[in-house]
Amino acid sequence: MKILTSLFFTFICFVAFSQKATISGYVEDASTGEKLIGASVYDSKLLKGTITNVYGFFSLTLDTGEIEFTVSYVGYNPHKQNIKLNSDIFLNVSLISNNELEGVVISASKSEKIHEKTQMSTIQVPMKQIENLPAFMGERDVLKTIQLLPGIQSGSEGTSGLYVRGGGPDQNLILLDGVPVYNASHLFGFFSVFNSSAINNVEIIKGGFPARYGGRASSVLDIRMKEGNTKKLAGEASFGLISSKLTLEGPIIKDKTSFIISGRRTYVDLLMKPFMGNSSVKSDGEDGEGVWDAGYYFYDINAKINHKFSNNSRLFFSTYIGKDKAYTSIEDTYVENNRNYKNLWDNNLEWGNITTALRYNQIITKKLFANITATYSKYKFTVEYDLDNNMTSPDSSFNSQIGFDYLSGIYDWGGKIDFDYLPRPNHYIRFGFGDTYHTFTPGVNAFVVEEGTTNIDTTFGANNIYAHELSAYIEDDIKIGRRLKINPGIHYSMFMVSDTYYSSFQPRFSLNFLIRENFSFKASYARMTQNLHLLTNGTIGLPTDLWVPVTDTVPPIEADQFAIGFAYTFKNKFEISIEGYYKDINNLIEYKDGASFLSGSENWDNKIEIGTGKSYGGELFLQKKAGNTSGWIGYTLSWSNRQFDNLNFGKTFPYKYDRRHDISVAIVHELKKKLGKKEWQLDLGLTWVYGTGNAISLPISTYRAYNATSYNNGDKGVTNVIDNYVDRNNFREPAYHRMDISATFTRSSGRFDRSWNISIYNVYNRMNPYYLYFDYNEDNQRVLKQLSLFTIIPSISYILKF
Amino acid sequence: MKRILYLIFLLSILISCEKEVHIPIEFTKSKLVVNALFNTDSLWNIEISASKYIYDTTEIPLINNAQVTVTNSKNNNIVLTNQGNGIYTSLTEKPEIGELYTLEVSHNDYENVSASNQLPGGIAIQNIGWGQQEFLNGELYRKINLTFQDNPEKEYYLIRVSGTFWEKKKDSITGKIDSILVRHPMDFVSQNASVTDLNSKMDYNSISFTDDLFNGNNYTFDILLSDYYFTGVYGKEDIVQTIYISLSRISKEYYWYETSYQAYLNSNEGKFFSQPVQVYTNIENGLGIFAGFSTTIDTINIK
Repeated sequence: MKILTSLFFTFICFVAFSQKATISGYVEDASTGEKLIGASVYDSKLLKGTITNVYGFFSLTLDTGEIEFTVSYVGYNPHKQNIKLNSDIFLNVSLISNNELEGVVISASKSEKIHEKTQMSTIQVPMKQIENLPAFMGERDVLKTIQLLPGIQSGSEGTSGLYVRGGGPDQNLILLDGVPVYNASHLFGFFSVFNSSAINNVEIIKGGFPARYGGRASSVLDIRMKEGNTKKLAGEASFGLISSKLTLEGPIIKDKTSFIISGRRTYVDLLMKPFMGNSSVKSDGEDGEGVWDAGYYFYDINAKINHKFSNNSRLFFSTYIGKDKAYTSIEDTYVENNRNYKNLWDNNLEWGNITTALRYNQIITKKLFANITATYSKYKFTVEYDLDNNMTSPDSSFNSQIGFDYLSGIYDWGGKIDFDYLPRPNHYIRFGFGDTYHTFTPGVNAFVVEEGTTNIDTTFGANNIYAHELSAYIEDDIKIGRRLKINPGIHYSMFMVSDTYYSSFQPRFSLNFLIRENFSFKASYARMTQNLHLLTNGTIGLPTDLWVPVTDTVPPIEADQFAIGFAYTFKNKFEISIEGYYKDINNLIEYKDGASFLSGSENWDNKIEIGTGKSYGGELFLQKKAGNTSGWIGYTLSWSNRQFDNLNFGKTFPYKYDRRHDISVAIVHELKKKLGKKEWQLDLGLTWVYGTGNAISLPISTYRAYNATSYNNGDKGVTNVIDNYVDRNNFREPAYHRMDISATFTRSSGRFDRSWNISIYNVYNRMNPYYLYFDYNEDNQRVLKQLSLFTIIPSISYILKF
Repeated sequence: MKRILYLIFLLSILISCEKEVHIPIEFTKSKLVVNALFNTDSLWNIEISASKYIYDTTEIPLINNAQVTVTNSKNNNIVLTNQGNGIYTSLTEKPEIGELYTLEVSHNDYENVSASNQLPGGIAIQNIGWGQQEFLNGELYRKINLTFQDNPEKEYYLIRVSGTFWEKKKDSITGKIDSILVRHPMDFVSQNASVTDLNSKMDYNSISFTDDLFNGNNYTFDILLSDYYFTGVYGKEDIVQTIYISLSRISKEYYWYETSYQAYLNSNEGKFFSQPVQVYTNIENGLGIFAGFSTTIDTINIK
């Protein structure tokens, strides 16, 4: 008891006699007012500091006295100020971008370096690099750029799915302003839904997940939209070969309310219009004369509005609306036996996301920041098929209509509250809780048959499923002495669906130990639980991919990941990290042998097998974030396997995207010159990727099937031959490699920046494998053929900024 | 929904190009292949062939000079004789219900193979009759109810439907064109919960399933036949005359072979985007199937 009493008095004395004061505020871009996420805020004398959160807010509590207050951020000139800290101060800091400071080469500005961060396996890609790297068909794409990072692999050619450390594309938590996006693909995955013009910050976490994130097993991709220029009206218009974009942003009330709206639309359908018209097929598919129309387009709109009530409170409303539509129709009219016939066959395929977030920030005390969010997310997919037949004659008429609709989707309403509490420089505590109410519509069919007076309307299919997903977390980023930082945390989740519920405590831990001033050792462990499964064929990003909740027979996916690594910063410009990881994934699902992903979702849990996955490997990453030449080189050595009791006879097999070696290089070089009032700039971009070929199942021999079972596949007497697949994914496709280059020429004069961008995809025209199949050649020999999707593709786009 | 896949596939063809690639597939020695599904109604009839290397385009060899022996649980050997075309038959012996048989095949050029299987007990159809007509996917179907009694043990079943149809055939002697009845498999759909594989719920002419959901009970299985078999919308030759419904109790190995083989055929259809299927085999050191079944057939005359 004596000890306790003396401890108590020591504590009281400590609190009473060490005078402290807090500096808090926001860090923003001086010209646009855009908040800077992850900027370093510190006292450069004592080297005590913190970083800004996702809203650009910081809070730093220090001993009173004179301090050298410094704020720095990559690509910006650092801010330094001597402050006599006697009492709490609120301070907004505006940093000036290097682009606007002539001749400034980013030098020894101290921003938080990789070796100082507690968190590991996390990469932030500057938007400027994303903008200047070569783009497929001229469309800059965040997900495609993310695929160039070590530990992250692309799936099939051209698609935007991410395979992170052996996990599938369904295991990525993709957040747009904190709202999960369920289907991040446009055009079957060839483009992602994220319009780079509206994005402020992109961060990907591959392991060592902080406790604030949960819900998916393999990665977190946190995308933050721009808030809109608070100083002046600005905009960007870009015109490409397949789409155009327009972005407008500016203040509604200067320094108080601002907005950003950005839209893009493809126009392949408009370009195709002249080629539509007469067809040699009638609406019933028979030969004849008809008029046909077909096309495909997608559009998306990002909008955000934010209002500052005071220095202490802000409100944000952000939304994303996107839709893809593919359509075909054939119409024919003809006269026969004095009767007029008019028939129409119409087929539509539509899918899209809507995400909305309403967010309120409140600085409760100088040390406590709160964020309350209400979110809505919707993904819907529909197929419509209609056949109308009309006949009119002087004495009679006939009308029949057959329609088929299929729709599936997921709708989420969510609410959460998050707190950032910074009691002193050596603690950064985050905690919060939330609930998401899911409505799953896993496949509804509706048939309408109308013929004269007969009317049949049947709607059937799986009923809606409702679920609650509750979560809570707490984590603390703790500095112990000068060398050690740890981040322990726990994430709790509870999922309730029908009569089933699953709850899980997911421990998280990260550690950073500074071995030398610029060299650190890192380690982490994280358990992630995922309560949703994606029914997918896994090869391409099909809109039919269906999200379904866990059931009493299909439990949540659980992933445990351990990682260790070293981080080193040299010459203040280069960051190098090397990491090793080991990941166990339980309760993965795969379709049963031969089960089709096309035959609806009814009783889907009967069609799948449950198994496990294991992946391990090492990643090397060298990054230069700023300077005239910037970019990165990444190398991954990895193994990724799956084991299912009822697949491959229970034997372990390589995951389709098990890639032993994966190399990526991304370089951006900037050249600038000023002539009088005019300024020109040339940005050159280059990417090169190399990856071991995907795993593929190939037969090693063929043999006769039992004839009696050949009922299905032909007349009696035809012998069916079976290809003998001894092992799943037992062969490798040829290696994948490709180089893309781009050049962006920008001229600035007065208010306008005009840029021309020329990109060439697959410069050396490598025929990369998309799909392999057996065929016969001219000499009637059985050979393996490869289909390659994209050969060399040049593209051009024009961008106007004001 | 296959339309979507074809759309994507067409799209990819439009912008893609193909070439031959060489992926070394290690040469594998041929193995003996056994194809034998046996029941009490017929003599032993086993086909022996050999597998061939995947790049080999020659005909699959049928093996006519192997030694083929079937042994029952009392160690009685039945030596089968070759009838040409890789077929080996018994002279008089027929498989017996409940008996465990072991097959041994030896050949000088191939590794010897063996397999064992037990012929399952008989099965009786208790009742067969018409049910309510149903609308499915906007199409009219006629329903047949098939009732049978399941045993307490784990059982595997196979249902096949076929029917006789009038066909015009030229008499090879007289040259006259006659209408004759020909039996063909009939596609059907089932809504039964016991058919877990949804692909089998689509139009096929056979369905295999387990008794997991009705173990030891009386069970009624529904068979839905499209209305065009009865109305002949697409032509009179589509109208069925007599429907044959066969119900078989099959061994576990037969079930695995049948389901994996059907899955294999399905996966071949949508092969651009699906994983290939490994077909089950119970032949040690070889490939193929050696499995027993018992069948009962009932008929419905449509007049």
